[in-house]
Amino acid sequence: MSTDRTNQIEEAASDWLIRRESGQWTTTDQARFEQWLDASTLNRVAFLRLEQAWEESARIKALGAGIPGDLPPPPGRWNLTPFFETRQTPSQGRGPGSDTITGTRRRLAIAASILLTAAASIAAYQFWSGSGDRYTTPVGGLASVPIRDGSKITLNTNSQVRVALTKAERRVDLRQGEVFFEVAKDPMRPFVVEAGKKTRCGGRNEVLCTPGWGVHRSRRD
Amino acid sequence: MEDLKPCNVPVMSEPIDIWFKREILSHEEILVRFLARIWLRRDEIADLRQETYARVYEAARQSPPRNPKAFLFATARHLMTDRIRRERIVSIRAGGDNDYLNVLVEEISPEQRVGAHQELARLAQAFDRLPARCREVIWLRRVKELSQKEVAARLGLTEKTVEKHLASAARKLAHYMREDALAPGKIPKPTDQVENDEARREHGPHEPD
Repeated sequence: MSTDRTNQIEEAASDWLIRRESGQWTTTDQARFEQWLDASTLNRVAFLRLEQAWEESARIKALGAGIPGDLPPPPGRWNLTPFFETRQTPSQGRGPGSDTITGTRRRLAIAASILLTAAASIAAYQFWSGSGDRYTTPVGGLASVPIRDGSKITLNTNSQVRVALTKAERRVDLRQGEVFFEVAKDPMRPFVVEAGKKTRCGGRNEVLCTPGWGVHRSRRD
Repeated sequence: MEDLKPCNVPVMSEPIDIWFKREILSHEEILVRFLARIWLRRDEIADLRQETYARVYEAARQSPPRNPKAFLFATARHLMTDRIRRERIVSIRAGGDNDYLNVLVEEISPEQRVGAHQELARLAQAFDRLPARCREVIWLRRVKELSQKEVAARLGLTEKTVEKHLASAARKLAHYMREDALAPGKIPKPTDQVENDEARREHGPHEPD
């Protein structure tokens, strides 16, 4: 197989990927697309590969959440965004060995952070009928919510979460959108995030929980 | 509350595409590193990668392997062996020493779960490498959530051109976000160690470390 062929397949895959979300996708397109996928497994895996990266790169939205105006930041200027800001504050003044953050604020023994993109598979009924506090952001919104256990939840645009703290666990149901967690360490109460799949995050340092990508423990409900 | 179990047990009812993304495509960086350590011709790495994926996908369609990662690397290894036999060219390093095909996958695997911040940082870096126009298009489309039509109007481009920029960005991002594997100076310690050991074996014990 030639390199040219790999490139051609990749180009075709990227065209399908973009056209599919162009807003002008017809049933004819869908049929032709499926035909293309079925024609060769090489087509299919090329498409899946690009689709996965494209979905993953949707987190660019999280990066852009705090940036005003219509233009991306110049290369290398991402520290303007809230997500890099939270990282930089502790790392500037402290060595890598000192994890403990003391002060008037809550004490985060280890700030574990989780970025989680929602799988929109939790029924709305479950979400709104369950116990716990609900937080939502409108389209274009960005909100940081301190939780009683010392954790912090940052909701990106158009997101919905429900947070329920019990003696046994800290549970977050992500109904929609994208949420970034800084989890306060509490070995007695695991931090459980549910987004279609259940994921336990307690005691882990910086776990990426995007469904379909790097979920380290999960179980289908 | 239900039990939590490790997720590498294949879930039969799960769509294979989702399984494939999670269990196979997530190893791309290590896979490429693995291929590149064995295969000399760099321009063929992408071919090998895609053909490995295709073989794994086809096999998994019959029945998902119990250990997806091991299966992925075994498949890559078989593919390279097949090609060497078929082409009768020495495409691998280390003078045809087939031991090289037994590179321990674990040794070249960095910790899989990198931090969320690291992931975001990598995405930001990948994004920064896109051409300026491409970045603007992506920004308006995916961060500001304008429609393709609106993006075209805002930037004075045709919709077709906007699509082209997006498609090109999709390909480039897929590459950049996992490209660390081939970047010089970014190969982690364990790999260097193996490389040195290999060099010693080839050039004799007097070779300095």
